[in-house]
Amino acid sequence: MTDPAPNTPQSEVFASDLLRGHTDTIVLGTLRTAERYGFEIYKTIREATGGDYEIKEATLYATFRRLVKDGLVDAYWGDETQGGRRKYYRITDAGRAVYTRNVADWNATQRIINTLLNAKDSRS
Amino acid sequence: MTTTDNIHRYLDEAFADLPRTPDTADLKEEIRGNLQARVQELEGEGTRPEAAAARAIAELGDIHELVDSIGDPDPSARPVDITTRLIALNRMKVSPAYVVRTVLLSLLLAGGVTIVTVGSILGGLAIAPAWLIDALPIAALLSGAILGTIVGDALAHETSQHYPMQPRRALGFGLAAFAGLAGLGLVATWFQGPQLWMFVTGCVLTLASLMAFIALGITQTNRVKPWVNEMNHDFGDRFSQDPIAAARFGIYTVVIWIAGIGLFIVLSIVVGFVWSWLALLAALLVFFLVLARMLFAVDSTKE
Repeated sequence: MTDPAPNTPQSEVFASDLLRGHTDTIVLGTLRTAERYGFEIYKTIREATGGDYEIKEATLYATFRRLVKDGLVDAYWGDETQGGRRKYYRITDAGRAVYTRNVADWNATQRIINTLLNAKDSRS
Repeated sequence: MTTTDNIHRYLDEAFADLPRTPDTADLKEEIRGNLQARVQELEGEGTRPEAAAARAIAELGDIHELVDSIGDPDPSARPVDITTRLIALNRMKVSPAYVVRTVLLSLLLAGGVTIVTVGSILGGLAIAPAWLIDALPIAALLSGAILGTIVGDALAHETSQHYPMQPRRALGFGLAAFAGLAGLGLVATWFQGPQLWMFVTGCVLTLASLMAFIALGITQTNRVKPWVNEMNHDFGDRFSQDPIAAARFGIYTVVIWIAGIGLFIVLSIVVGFVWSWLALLAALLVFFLVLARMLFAVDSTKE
């Protein structure tokens, strides 16, 4: 299902594990600019990574439920007249706050890890 | 068609072992909508229907784990929590365009009805300016048209609690509402002796509206979504839980008012209008006491 990535299988697993920890933030990020339904969110993430990484749709449903439960997104049914019914998600103010904080946290962590990795590099 | 068959069968199998709770039904419906969107996209790119369905399902990944994780609803949940959850699960988007449209039309309607009412009263007192009298029938027809639009529009919309009405029925209710208001507005011009045709048209429209409402009303079927019924059953007022109590209350009501009105007539003849209205007041008081008693009585069926 995952498109063949340029990485070796080993690093792919590593990247997936790391990314999985940030699924909530990634989903919140896709909702910042527009209200979307599940498949749209999935597609947005897939296209943003150019197919290098796909969050499993099944994982996303668990994420949606958690986000709704925590009040970070609102869910509502759209009133499509054709095709299947769609459940839309809209980010709340609380969701935006959490997103901003998570991004700030990530940036800080990233800096620290980069520093640590470089330090190790220079010693060896 | 096999396309949709595949999706529905897959979902049914995945959800087969789960109790049918609002939560699971909601998730199933959501996944179904997303699968259909993906199938549509694949078919648009030229994939054959069966292959599109198979691929959409494959891309979805393993939902069994997810499905199992939501299996049991929290048994300690309080009724209030369940109600809140049900409402949240079934919420529907209200389109801003619809709200703006309805508010604007309502304002116009209020203006039209005011013109008709004020015009008729002033006309009845013979102090209405000529332009106002000329404007009356137009205002009546326009008000009717606006009300009809609001009614039809509202009924054809799906809401959180109701399925949308069939377009033709909604149109019927809209037309009936139009005929009703326009008819009453025209009837209100009775004070203008010479323009008898307007009065007659008004009567005909009003009657037509009444008959249309009756015909539509007795052929109306349920529009309420299942979750609302379920909620009413569990947490609703006594009458929706206990139809027998509702029927008993109906009989009490008839008895109270027959007694009240009978007493009113007798007293009017014997004592006169000065005191006879007290009979109606007494009937009203008894009616409300019975209503309160029926709605909030200790429910013996639950003990």
